[in-house]
Amino acid sequence: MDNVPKYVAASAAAVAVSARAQAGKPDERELVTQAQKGVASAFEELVRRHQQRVSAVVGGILRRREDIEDVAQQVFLKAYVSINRFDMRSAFSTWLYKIAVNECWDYLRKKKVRPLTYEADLSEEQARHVEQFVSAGGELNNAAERVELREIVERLLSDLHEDDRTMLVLKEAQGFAVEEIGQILGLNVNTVKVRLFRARKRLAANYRRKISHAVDNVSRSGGSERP
Amino acid sequence: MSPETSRENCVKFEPFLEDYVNGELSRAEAERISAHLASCSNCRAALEDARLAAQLVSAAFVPVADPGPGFVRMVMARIDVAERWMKEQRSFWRPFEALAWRLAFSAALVLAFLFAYGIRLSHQQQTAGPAVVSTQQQDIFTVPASTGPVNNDQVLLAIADHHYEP
Repeated sequence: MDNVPKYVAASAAAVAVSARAQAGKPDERELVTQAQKGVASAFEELVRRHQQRVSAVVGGILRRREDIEDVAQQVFLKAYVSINRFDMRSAFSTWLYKIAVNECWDYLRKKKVRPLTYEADLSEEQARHVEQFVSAGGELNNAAERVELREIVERLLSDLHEDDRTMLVLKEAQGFAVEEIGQILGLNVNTVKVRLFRARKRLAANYRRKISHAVDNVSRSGGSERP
Repeated sequence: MSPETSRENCVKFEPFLEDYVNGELSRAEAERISAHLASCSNCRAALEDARLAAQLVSAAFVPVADPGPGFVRMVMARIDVAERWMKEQRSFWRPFEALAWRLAFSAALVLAFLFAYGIRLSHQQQTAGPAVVSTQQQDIFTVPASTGPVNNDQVLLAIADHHYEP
């Protein structure tokens, strides 16, 4: 095997991978092994399989769409460069998501911004908007309402610990299981459950506090703005 | 306060409450939690809060969509650029690496030579024996030749010697 040039071995392996891909989906471990040998098509297949979930992890931490795409691509680049260090002791996806989380925190550190920094209370209009949403049983009528709600919820999330915020968004918005979140953040499943539950309570407490502040501000100003 | 509603008891239920919110408990466990909730207003309030938070977050954040086939191409293009850059870096540093190896080898040779020389020198000193320090006994009554006249009589004697010597 040593006498076979590397590119010949790689192209033979690539043919084998694509043949298996045509027959059915190749095993992930096999794809990783091929990628570790330098088969680009195997790595491409791994990117294809995980691009959505990696983007979801990144989207759980970062806010801007361009940032999400940029960092998600960077995650795969890092994975490619260090794939020989992956020892198959965990699932490839878990290893990849850990890179994603670290990459997001690095990105935020380099940009010297907290993921969310909102100090002010909700405006009267925002308070009314979120109250309407809650009383309507969580129904949104259009995309603009969702944008408005996201702004409010990010304010509510800003008081939470970064990990707690990430857990909550991964669980509720991106549909990750508690076990997956535990693997990504390196936490025990029970710890994740308890922290998730406490994060929810804190978010709700923030909601009530900010709503009552908004109501107080309105009553102090004589409620002139309310129709 | 009944034992069911004690704070320690509530803490014990916390991990189960998260599963209860998500509907991931077995029937027996769910019944046990329901019984606790019926008697514990704190946990009931916490559960309501948890549901409210879940509702807010899930409505506010849209799940990130699949980035599509263009994403793979972008990733592979980035990998290509990175690999070329790494290759260039390696080719740039290669002459310096060779030079560094040569310098290191030369330094090692010099050090080895100095070490061997030092060993040899100390060996020679050991075989020559201890250095003999000769102390010449001096006559305490004679004035050293280098010493000049110390009083007037000696000066006169020296002049006389100088003038009357043939």
